[in-house]
Amino acid sequence: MTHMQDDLDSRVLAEVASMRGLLVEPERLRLEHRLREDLGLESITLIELIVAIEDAFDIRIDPITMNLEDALISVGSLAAFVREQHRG
Amino acid sequence: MTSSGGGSLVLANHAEYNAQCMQTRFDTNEVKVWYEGGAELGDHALFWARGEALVIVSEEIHPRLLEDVRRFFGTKAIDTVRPEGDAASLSDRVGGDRAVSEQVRRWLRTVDRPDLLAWGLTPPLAAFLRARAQEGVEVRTPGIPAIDALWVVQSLDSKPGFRLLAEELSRTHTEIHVPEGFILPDLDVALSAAEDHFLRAGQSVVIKAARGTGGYSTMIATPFEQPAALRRIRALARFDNFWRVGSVVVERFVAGPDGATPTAYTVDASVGADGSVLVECLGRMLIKAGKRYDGAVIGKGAVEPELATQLRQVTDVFGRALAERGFTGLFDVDFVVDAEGRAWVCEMNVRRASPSHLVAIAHQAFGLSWATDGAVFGRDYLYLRGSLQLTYDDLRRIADDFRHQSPNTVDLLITQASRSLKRRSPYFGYALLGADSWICAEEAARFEKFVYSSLGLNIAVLDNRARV
Repeated sequence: MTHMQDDLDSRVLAEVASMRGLLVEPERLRLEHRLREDLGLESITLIELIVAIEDAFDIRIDPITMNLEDALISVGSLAAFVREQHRG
Repeated sequence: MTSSGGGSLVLANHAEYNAQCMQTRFDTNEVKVWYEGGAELGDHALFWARGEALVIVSEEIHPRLLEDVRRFFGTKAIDTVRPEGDAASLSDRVGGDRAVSEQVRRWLRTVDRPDLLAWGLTPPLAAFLRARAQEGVEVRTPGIPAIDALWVVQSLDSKPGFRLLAEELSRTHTEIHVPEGFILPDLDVALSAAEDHFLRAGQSVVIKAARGTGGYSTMIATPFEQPAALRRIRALARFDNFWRVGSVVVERFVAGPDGATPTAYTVDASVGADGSVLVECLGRMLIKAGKRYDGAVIGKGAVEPELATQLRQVTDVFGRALAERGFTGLFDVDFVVDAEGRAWVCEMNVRRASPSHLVAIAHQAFGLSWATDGAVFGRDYLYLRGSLQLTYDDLRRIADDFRHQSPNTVDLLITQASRSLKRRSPYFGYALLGADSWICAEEAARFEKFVYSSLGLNIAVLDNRARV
């Protein structure tokens, strides 16, 4: 893992950790955690997370054309999605 | 499965009603906010008839939950039937499933003047009732209006429709307080008004889409968060179809003591065939994240007597206005109370209200004078971790363990679990009964911690929730 990757993952982890009602203590949060099944995030909170990610990484996520279902599986898949948007 | 006779035909048409209320379906890329449209709430319908019933549901009910409800009401004659098909409307699904359709017809013929109980009147339900009338089956609909009053439901279940009525009534009834606000054509105009009229003056603001329920499609902005607040609302709205349909209401945020989120109340009532208004229940609402309905506490101590008088008076005025428009059946009026104890009207639901199953539970447990003899605390959405893959039986065991070591808990029922536990982000609902609302709230807090600690979940999450 490169430093840049490491930094991006940490920032995504920090954004997820800031969400309300996580079922896992923020300090125990890992990339493997699934957003719904493990962390208990509901649809509304997932939308809030996307908007927080947009702000934090200065990207724009289009709900119509982008496949958010795949991005919103785990913390790691969300980080991969953000990485992809950065490359794009 | 057929009923052993007597009782009510119950249609758990939450999703059908919400589809009408939301007006537009969500596609798969919009995070499915309301994709399921409230179908999980079907378990609550088992309680509506308060006993013997044939309950039509869109999702299978867990057999043990059904058994527990039968035991609670002391009857075996509560049965469920689930029509096949993929129609979004449960009423349409009944018509589309020949076997179920025939079963319902047969059942209706075995019962003398059966009642039909539903979440609310919808166009598909109106068609269902017309079809029964053409078959010569007389079905009474005590909780929903006549088909002719469908327009009242569709008009007043919208935020602008309610606001117009509330403003009109407040001109002649000084006891009705409506927060200052505007009905605006779209979100862009609404955000401009929010900024220019409220936020710049240092006032927090509530922005409501025309359609929505349970606090969805409602956003709050405070002057302290500006300009991020409105930017965030605009961003959130991109993911949410509510904001693309109909006009938008902007209102002053009514603050509670010290500027905090105010306490919210609901009054469930009905309009009789003679136009009389009967208040069935006053409840204090559990609100999550400042706006989302999470449950209610009803019964002894839930609402202070002085406030209760105020809420009853206002609800009576709204009920009479509904009667004048030809409406009969169940409705509720929701309020928030400011730091001075003044109640402000927020919205009205022209359908069965969410604590309806709690009223049935209170009635069964404490009798006719339940409002003064006991209390019920009901949370509809206690979230769990999906990776635990819990079943109703697991929850039931935990609830039993808690009950055995809690003498102050009169009873504890799981009220919602059949489908809600199968979600990727699962939850369940429960009702806890106790001597008064304070005891119930304390016991409920202990129960939730007991559940979380039994399952190894993060108890700190519970401390962040809004509590009664």
